[in-house]
Amino acid sequence: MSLLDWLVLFGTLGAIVVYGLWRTRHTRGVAGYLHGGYADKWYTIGLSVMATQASAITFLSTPGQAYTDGMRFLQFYFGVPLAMVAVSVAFVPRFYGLRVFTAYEFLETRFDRKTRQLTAFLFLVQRGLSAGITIYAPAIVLSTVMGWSLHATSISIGAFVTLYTVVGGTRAVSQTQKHQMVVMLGGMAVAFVVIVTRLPAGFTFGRAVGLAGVLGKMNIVDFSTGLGSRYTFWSGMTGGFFLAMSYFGTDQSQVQRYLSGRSITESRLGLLFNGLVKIPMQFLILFVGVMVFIFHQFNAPPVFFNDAALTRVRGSRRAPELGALEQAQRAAFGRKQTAIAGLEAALDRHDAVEANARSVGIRAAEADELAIRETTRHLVREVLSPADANDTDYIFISFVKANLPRGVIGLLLAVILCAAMSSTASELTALASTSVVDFYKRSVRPSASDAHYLRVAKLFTAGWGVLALLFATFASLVDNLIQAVNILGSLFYGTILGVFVVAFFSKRVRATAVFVAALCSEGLVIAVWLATDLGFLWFNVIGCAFVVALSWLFDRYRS
Amino acid sequence: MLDSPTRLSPTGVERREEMDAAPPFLSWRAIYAIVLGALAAEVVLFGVLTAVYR
Repeated sequence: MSLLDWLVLFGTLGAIVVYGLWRTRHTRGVAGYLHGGYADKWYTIGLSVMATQASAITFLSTPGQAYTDGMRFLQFYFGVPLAMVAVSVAFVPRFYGLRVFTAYEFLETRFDRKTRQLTAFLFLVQRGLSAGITIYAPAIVLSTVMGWSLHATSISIGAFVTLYTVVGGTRAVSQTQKHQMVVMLGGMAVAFVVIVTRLPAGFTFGRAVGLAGVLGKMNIVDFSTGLGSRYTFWSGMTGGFFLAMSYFGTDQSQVQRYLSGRSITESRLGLLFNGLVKIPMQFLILFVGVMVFIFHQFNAPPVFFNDAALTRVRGSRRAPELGALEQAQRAAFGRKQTAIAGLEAALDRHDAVEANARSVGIRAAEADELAIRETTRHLVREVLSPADANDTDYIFISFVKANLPRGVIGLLLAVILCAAMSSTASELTALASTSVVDFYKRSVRPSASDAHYLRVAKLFTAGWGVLALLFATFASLVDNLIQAVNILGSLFYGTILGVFVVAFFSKRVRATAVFVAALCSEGLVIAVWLATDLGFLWFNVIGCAFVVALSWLFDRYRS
Repeated sequence: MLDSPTRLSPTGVERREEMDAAPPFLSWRAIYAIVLGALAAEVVLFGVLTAVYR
């Protein structure tokens, strides 16, 4: 990496954090530390909510997902605008009405302490594990591609973010996230423009989108009704809606963002801003991945994007097999080049019949390339490990490193690290808030001074930071990282949402019924996950439905 | 000391006014309609793009 890249990278990260800490240097007391003194405007809340959700995984995995699977992942976000309206109407006024510090605090006013602490505990488990993945995910990919030490990368990201979160609290997190989000969006827009300018001369943007369509990457909306398919319009609108409701309505890392608003109006507007901007933003990130794919229709892609893994296979007894696969891939790439040139000529002549024939040829060559990539994955799995066999998360960063100009590489690395830090910072403040408010103050030390709780809040923030770092150090690469985080979330979110739905909409159901229902539902969701191939988005619906139905049944039975 | 919910919350009229506060522009219903309308427009646009570039 050039000196310019390092300057851009450290300049961007350092300037944002220093500015954030400087802006919030007058924050006082535990209320100021945990909720920023309720001072944020709607645009700060909106950008902070977006930055919390957009982790480094978003920027590493999502373009790779579009490269391999097309645009259909976008449907995952279709439930977000709907959920933003629902959370604004149903959740925000209730939280504001009681001025709670955490979402779970609300549950004690409706049910009892054990229900509050059960949901808080589920949150701590799920978010505590996610915080580790949030640090580990970019560290493993960046260290491999950039040749950095894995542990040094994990520790640098984790220590830096823990430090400024401990020092500045939630206000510093919001202030830094506002600028980090601008860097993320700006960086991806720059990447998009640079990639488009790198396409061959005369190959228009319209032709690029057309070629993406021929190769099945413009599969944005799928109205099919199969339950096993992970991303369809229906799973996005239902499962995605339930997941977004759970995430934005009951996950403290998000609730804390919008409860730091100056007023209920600012909080609502911040959430609705997210509802308006989320889908276009994800479209941009996915479309960058599609453009990287198109770039590689004219510039031969590697047979496998994790170059470090390939090097290790080349050093093994199976090296000749890899050589044969690379040769076969070059041949398939050559056939595809010929077919693409033929398609362009046919389109220039407005010869629809010839264009269709060439499209068939392009698809056939692409199928050959896919088969070769799959065989290579099997080879890597056999020689190395299953964890090494997935290269989706390496596609975008490998492309950035090999093809983007100096300075832009540093900017894109800043995008990824900004995302890692912004989401981790929210997680750490949320974990600390829940630990202090829902457990420490509630069950350990109910009456102490403000200074004592402030000290404890800082200690918990540091403690969760260290735990996340330890988890990141010992984690191993699990399938596609973004999916691993979402699956983990979906296992718990449905149950938590179900408890809140009962709290909000049923005046009759009592505490013990909902508590037992939540325990049973969590067991059932985990059983469904282990025993079936059901798409993970449905776990949110199932968990929520189980809690609502079972709590009603148990309550009736008790009556 | 970490404030209890009742200690932190605004009281009486003040809280009611805050809960009912109108947005600085348009009305809440209009803003909700814009967000949901944008979603509908996006689904239609993406549906068309999917069909055209199949």
